[in-house]
Amino acid sequence: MGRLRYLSTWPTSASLIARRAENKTEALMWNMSDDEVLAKAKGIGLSTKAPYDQELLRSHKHIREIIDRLSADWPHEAQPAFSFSSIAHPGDK
Amino acid sequence: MTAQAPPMTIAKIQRAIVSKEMLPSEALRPFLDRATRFDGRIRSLVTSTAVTAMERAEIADQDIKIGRAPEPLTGVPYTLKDIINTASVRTTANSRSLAGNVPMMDAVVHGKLMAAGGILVGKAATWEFAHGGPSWDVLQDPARNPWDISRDPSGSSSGSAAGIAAGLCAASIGSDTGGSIRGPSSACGTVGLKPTNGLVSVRGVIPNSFSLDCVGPMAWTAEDVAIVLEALTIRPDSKSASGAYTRNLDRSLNGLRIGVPYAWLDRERPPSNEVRAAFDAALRLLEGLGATVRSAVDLSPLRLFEDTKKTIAAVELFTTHAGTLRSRPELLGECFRVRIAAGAFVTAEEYLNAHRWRHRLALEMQAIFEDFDVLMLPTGEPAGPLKPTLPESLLTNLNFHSAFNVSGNPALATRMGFNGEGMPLSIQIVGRHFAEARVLNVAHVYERETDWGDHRPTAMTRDQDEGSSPELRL
Repeated sequence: MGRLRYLSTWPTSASLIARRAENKTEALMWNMSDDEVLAKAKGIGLSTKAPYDQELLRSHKHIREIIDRLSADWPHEAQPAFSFSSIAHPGDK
Repeated sequence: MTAQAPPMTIAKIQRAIVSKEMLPSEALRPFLDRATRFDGRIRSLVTSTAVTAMERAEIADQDIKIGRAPEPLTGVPYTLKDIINTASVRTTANSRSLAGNVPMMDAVVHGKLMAAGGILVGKAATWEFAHGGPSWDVLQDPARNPWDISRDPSGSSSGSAAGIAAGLCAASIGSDTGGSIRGPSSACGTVGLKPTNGLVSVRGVIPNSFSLDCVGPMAWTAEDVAIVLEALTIRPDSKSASGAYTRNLDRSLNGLRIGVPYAWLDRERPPSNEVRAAFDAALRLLEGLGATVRSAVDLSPLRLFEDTKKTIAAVELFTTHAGTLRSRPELLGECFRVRIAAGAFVTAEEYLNAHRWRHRLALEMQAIFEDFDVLMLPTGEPAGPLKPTLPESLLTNLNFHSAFNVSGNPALATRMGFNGEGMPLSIQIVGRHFAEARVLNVAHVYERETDWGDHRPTAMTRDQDEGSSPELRL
């Protein structure tokens, strides 16, 4: 269930390299240079003029840190979304 | 009644109007007087509706005089967080991008409160779109904490909690996507409930993160919160409130099983000594009333809940606000821009995997309630200085709120004392899904056994020159 493992496996540089070798999408998102981050932002229509350029780089840095922790142990159930039907039917997980 | 008298609670207004000791306009007037005198310094309102409020109260006076029975909230002044749509009254989300926005339709919650006889006295200050703040580059500067106007009332339902604490309204509807009802309730010494996701309609509420958003009642006491929750959840086919949340408020706590997630408190997010001491004292008081405190609460790390929430929220915020971010970014505050742009850098796979985590964590939370009736933990730290924060702070912080947005459980914040500087402390009570009645019962009995609710902000009870708006520009 993750639990304490979640805290103990926050990415080290070695585990990061290994994971990114396996997951090209994640590697692409994290390893982007500043220019690539801004190019992606521009590509989806966001302004990259100052001061927005620096803001976008800050946004990218912090959300990728979060995803890094979270993706260390993704769950693999088929059901992607929380559903309140689980309350009405607790045995039907 | 003078503006210096303690503000009436909703329960007292109800009794005074039912017994015909007071007309609705008489109940309303002291609240409006205090708003006139004090809101220049508190800034709890983005838009005042005092004039129409008094007109509505005078119509209610006539109804009472001709013998019509009062509704549950007749004469009760309330505010709505300014992300809740009000037809013909501007709804700005405290954003320059919506400065002139006047909705065509009322949000469902506003309709229900009006049908219950409540009187809207204004739109309450919020962080921009209930997310980015406190900020000084948005439509209106942040609200102030009535206990000390140099302190942060927290957010994002800042004006709701500040207005209640200052006695400018008796109730408010806030929103809570990651603690935005409970945080301000804690900082301002009021009571606020984040209901079970889905219990209260969010139709007509400007979204923050649509899969996590909740709106809920805020007031001075748990009893008042229960009264408002009944009005908010009244069924369309019913003519009167169910009594579901007020009926058992005085139920004994004998045998109540309280779980405390000590791993969170001891290892991940240790509270300050003063908060921990007050929390331990609250648990001892509840044990004295027959409750048992159990420590074996086996939950995933708090950080996992927090990261799950932040990932989902980033994407949903970006989805909602990308249009403005693309076309007119200068109309959004920096704090909000940085926080919502984060969603542009999350893949669809990562977003859906975060929802998988949410599913798993919600089931885990549901399972632990087989052993406990309620979870308890401090709501947060006492209010600190009101100052700009780095936009990234919301992406890096760790609190006791988001876990219950992820899991969907009802969570209530109520007073648990004051620190050495006279600032309120707060305890959080969390229940099973849709067990709001039990949460409110525990909170009400705890409030009854303490006298924290007798204390009001001294700035609001002193007869002093309020002067003009504060000069605390940052």
